Amino acid sequence: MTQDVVSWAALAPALALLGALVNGLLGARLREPLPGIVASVAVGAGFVLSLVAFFAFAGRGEAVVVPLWDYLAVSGVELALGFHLDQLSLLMMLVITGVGALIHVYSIGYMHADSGFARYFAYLNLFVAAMLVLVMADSYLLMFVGWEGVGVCSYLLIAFWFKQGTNVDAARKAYIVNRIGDAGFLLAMFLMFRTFGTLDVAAVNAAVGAFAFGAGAITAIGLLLLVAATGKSAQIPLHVWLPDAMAGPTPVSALIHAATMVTAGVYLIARASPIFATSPEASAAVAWVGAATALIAAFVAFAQTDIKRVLAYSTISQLGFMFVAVGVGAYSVAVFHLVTHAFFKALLFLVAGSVIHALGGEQDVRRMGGLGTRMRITGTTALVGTLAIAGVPLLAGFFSKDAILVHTFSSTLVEDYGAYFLYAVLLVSAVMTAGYMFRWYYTVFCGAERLSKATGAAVHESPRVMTVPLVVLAVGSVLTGYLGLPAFAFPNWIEGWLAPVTAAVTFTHPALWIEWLLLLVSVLAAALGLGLGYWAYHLQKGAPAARLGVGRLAAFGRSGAGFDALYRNAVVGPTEGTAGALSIVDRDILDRGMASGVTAAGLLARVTTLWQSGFVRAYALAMLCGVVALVLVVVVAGVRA
Amino acid sequence: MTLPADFIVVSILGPAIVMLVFAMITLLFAVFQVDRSATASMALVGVGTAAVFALHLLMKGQQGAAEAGFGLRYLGDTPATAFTLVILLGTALAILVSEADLSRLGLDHPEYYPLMLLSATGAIVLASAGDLITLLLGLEIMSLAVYALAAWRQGSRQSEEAGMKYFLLGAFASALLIYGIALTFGAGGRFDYAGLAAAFSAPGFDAHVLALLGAVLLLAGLGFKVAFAPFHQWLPDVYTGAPTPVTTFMSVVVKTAAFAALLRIASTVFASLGAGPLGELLPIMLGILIGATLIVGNFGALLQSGVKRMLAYSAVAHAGYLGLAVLAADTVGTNAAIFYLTAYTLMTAGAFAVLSAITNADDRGDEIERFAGLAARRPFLAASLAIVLMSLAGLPPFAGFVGKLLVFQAAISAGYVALAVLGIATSVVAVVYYARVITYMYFRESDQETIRPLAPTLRIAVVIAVVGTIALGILPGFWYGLVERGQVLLAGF
Repeated sequence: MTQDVVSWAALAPALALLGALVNGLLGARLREPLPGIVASVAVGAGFVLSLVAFFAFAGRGEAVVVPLWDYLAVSGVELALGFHLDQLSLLMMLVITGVGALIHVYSIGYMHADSGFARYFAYLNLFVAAMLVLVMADSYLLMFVGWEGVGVCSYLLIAFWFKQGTNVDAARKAYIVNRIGDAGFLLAMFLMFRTFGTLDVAAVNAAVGAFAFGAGAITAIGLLLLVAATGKSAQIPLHVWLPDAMAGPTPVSALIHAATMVTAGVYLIARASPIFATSPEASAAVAWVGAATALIAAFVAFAQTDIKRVLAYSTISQLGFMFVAVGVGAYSVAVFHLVTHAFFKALLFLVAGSVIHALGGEQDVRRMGGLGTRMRITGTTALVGTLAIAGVPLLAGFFSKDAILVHTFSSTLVEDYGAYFLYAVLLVSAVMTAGYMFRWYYTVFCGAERLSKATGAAVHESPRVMTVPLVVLAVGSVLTGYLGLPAFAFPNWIEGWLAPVTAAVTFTHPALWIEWLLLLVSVLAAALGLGLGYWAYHLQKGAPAARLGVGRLAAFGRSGAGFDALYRNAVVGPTEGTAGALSIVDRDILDRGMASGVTAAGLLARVTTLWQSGFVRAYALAMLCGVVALVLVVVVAGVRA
Repeated sequence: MTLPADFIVVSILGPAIVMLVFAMITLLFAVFQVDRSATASMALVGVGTAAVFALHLLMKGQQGAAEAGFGLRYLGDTPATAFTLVILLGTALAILVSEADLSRLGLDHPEYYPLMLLSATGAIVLASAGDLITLLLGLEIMSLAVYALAAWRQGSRQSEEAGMKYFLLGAFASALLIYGIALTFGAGGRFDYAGLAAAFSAPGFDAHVLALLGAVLLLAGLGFKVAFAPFHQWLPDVYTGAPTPVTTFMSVVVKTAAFAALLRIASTVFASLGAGPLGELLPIMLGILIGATLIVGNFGALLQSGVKRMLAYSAVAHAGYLGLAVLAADTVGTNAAIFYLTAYTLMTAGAFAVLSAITNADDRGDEIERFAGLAARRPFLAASLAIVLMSLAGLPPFAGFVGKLLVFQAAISAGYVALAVLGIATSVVAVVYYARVITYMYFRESDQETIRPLAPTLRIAVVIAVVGTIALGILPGFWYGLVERGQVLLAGF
């Protein structure tokens, strides 16, 4: 390792952690807005370090490894912890600390006068530290530490306003669904250790080369990683937590549930790209999960009436686009969309926060409207964000989404798994994206005001500390697109930048006119979606927004396509049933057993009293049964042998 | 029979003898009615002195010069001394928790600390046993004292019932164990593990069924102590009924010692049987017990509304995770289990320590509602409990995560992939019940109930537990390296 400027970036997570400690331990004694400033400076300093490292790294090939310490030696393999700074991790760090710092600054205004001001910034800094560890880790072990860390911080921040009704339940739901993904990550990790004898990311990626194309072990690892990514990135069927996660403060939704944490799944797959490039099956699974998610979430977004839930489903849908991109092997394209999406979606969430702030907590778009004239900056930046996500040409979303569509169309990795269908699904999703986003914009910012008098009178543009981040993000939502212009005719920086760290997957190169045609199709998709959104908004003249979400299809969409009900019936019920059945066997006689012994009837009661009683003789009987079973097995086996 | 000249090596007995001596000293204190906290201090001095002796033995093991004596019927090699150190750590924490609570709970009788030290002595003997008779001696020394401690609170129906229940079922389990010893002796003609393993793997050995019968009875007897399902039912009742300081002691020290004994038998006697005909039976049966334990423990904990009882079921669940290490006892399982039990001792003792600061004066009242708003009222206690609970749930960067990683890896490397997957799946469930407590502490309104001031010794215990949990999680390599580099007598059969 060389002691150069690049390795200084390894201090970024430590700075964020320090900020969290200061706010966590001394926060109660600091006066507002000091905790916010401390937190913003901690993340901002991380951004400066990352930026310096980024430019110092340009033109170099070798990753800079910053070793931390030796962790553990298992089965003769030394597991060491360290940070791995290369093209991919530096880019991610820039997004996390850059967008993160803006959101921290915005939060100073948004969280003004909140009783948990310091606590909020402590959690937010802790999140940034964990997220940085996730993307900087040089081994899957350390990545898992960050992976779990962001999950815990997400839990803490969703439940931040715990005095309000169901927020804590939303946080628990998010955490538990995420744990299913985490189990996938753990299993993938053990399988990797078994297959490659190491957990070092670079070593694993190098070792994959020795395996045949489509090898079973590689596919298994890929599918387990997909489970992990599905949980963290809220893909179907593990997406159910993200809409509920909107219970957290809006800047949290912008930072964690739009720009950074939820993209960790995409990052994970891009990081492990050699594994997926070796397994078309796993790649196809990734692509199809992404495509299904992109389409269904876009459909559901149409029916939502909460200003944030529209954006939540939109995020799920956009992550689906990224999953298709990594699925078809276009890793740098996926990261490109990750970056552009981080800007415009963070912008849209912060816009939503600004609106909620102005309306005193109102979140139902049916009671908004016409805000564009009264909140000029918010309205204008919202339009930029909407145009960007809709894929209107010359804005960031257009270039990244078009790149995904083109690469899906010309994929060779998953061409046996319906690449053209994937393209078609994405195209429809892209039209719908433009549609629901424009309707969202019209409903909130255009038309007649539908505010109640009390809120209407108080509407105001947000303070400078909130609008400046909006403007910066809006600028980013335009400019980041020029990092990756269509490669067939223009310079494409991001593809070249990420090429050394992602697996090379070949794509067919269609004729030039086809490339232009595909570009034109993307433009038409955005235009069609724009029209669709306008039509959907103006369809019901008079009360254009009041009828949002009416009708059977819309009701289905509003319920999130029925996933919550499905899980309630299929998973939660049986789990409670299992636990309940066990309680019959092991109930505490001292507290409850006697009462239930009286009320319970029939056979159940007999079984119950036999097992649950708390009486020594019943427990002894259970032990005896166990021993007799063990002895019988031996005797029977002995006789038969 | 004449003994070889180097048969008796006193230094191996060092930790056990020191504990015994200090048990006697504290007993004398009791006779002369010395102040209770002086007795506690003396008990801690005893634990510390024993730890010095154990460390000496551990260092010998590091140099590959572990003391061997008594025909390997009593062992002073690395696993034995590492387990001894864990037992001493658990005893020290239990003494610190006890000291804070004895007078409050009406447990203030002078025989308390001597009994605890005696029980720890038995635990050390159990963990060091290389022979079935030594094992039985250690087990009974340990258990008899714990039976009395569990029933320590006179006038409390729960406590007395807990002690009686534990005693009766414990007697039953001991009967099974002794029967197992008899059958094993009948099959192998020896009591020492080395001799048994040699006899079972000798060519011409034909009493496999008898030996296996002995083995399953040994498994049942020890399975009771470690709380494998279906031998676990006593545990929630006893843990809940016993005074919290005693529960602390039981949950860490007794469990550690019992697992130490089971691991040693599994790595020698069971391993030698495994190579013979019908050898595949034993791991299968053990695997079924472990799977049942994982399910019963985790799902049982899910239901509990009392935190103490939840922790009791969680103790059953952790027995299941440790069981995964037992399956790989002859390879990396023992080291994994030593690490896991070290972590488990710290985090469980920490959890019970916080619990004992929160319960009523009469040690009742562990409902989860009582933890509401604890973060606002007592940030130190809440943060400490949150950390140990996250560690118990297996979250990084805490010790419990590393422990789980090691036992899962041990099970997978020994070929028990399905059980490891079950373990990982149930650990998803586990998060639910641990997180529930954290949710109450941090995200529920405080009911303004005042809590008595934290006793200084309790604070020390909590700090040790939390710092240890974090340190072992961030730098696990030091302790695990010591264990892994050490010398194992009695392996390779």
